[in-house]
Amino acid sequence: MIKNLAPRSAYTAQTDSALAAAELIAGLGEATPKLVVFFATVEQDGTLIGNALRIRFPEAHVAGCSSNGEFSEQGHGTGGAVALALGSDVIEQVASTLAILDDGVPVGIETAAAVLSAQLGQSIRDLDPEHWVGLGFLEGASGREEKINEALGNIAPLLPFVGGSAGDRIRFERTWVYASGELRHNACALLVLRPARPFAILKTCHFVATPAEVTVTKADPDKRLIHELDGRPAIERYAELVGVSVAELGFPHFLANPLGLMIDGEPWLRSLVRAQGSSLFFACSVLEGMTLNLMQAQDIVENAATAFSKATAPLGVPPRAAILFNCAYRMIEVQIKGIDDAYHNALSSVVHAGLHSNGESYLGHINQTLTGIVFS
Amino acid sequence: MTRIQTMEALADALRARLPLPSNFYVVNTRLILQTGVNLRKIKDEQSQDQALIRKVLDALTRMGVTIEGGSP
Repeated sequence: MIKNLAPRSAYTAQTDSALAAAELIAGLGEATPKLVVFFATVEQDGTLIGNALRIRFPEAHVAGCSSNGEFSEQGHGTGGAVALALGSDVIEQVASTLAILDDGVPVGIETAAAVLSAQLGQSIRDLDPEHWVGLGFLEGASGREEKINEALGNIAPLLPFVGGSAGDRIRFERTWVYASGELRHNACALLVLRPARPFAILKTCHFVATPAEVTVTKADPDKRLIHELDGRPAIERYAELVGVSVAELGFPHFLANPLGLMIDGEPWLRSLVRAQGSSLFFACSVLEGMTLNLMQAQDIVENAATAFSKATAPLGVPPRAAILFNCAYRMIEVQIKGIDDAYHNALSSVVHAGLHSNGESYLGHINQTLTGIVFS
Repeated sequence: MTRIQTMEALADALRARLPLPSNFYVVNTRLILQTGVNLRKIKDEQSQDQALIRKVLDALTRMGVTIEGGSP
């Protein structure tokens, strides 16, 4: 008999992957999920964990990726792993595969989309976005998220993919993703879900736009560099905006003062990584001609506490489970402030699993944001 | 076949082409991130910029959204 499964998550701090897999399996309990996602710190053996979950849950799609740290309502940390099991009361239909990027992003994404369409028996281009949603664990070390999101949009422009970039302790050297029983480094794990009940895409941040605006007058989007803002060296204009000298400018300013592309009143954050000469290197590409606002931080714990209810308010039903992608910059901020327990407690009203990611995705690549899918 | 001359005409044609009004948000957001043009908030200098109009049309074509014919 196939049992339905209430959403259930598991967390382990074990750094030994065999022990971590055993703890995740024990934590998920007796279940027959349709989908199991897992996130594990990059040094973990993702193949071992993924295969162990596949053996334990043979009827489930199992997908995961490496992280900068992982969290659920059961616990949070860096070095271990989390998993979330969703049954047929949450997920009606799933397709999953790897998009292998060895022959370039477009080929990898197109090939994967064909596999997803074959699994579903219909083209993902034709899926109704009211009932379907894409989920992506993106290769997170090589700065190709814009191209990956664009390729997904070219294949299925009406179907939103939400997700994040796999982590590697914020080294941007090598990440891994797992799907279809295989772990790859130069790849994305892509899933398409038909939730059984209303769902919401979560995209939230704790920044609001200030009136201070700048226009990007010279940039190299492929390299994520901004050379000039308002016709002046980017570093000078940004330091002026923040109110410090160029010599004083450092990572704390970058962390606290991202720039935001405002779309219909909502910020799409572009986070600064470092100065590069008189240019600024961002974690996200910005086009010449774009107007960006200097952003001002609000309470990140309050932002987390209201994230689910705000996302699901239009549905009129309470949230039950979530898959989350939390920017590593958000992780750094709560760690610096010593409020990481409060932050994760604020998320813990809902069963969830998430990773601290190297970037977030929703229709495009974004920074310093919490994205995810919230299931009712 | 009518040639699109203004960004406003392009926005109207896109709205007419999409199956549902709610689809416009998703496609428009993709366009903003790829081209810098917000079809809901067209800047004066973008309105008749033929090179920029071509850039947006090209982005739509890559998505398989042909303004003069076909469907997304």
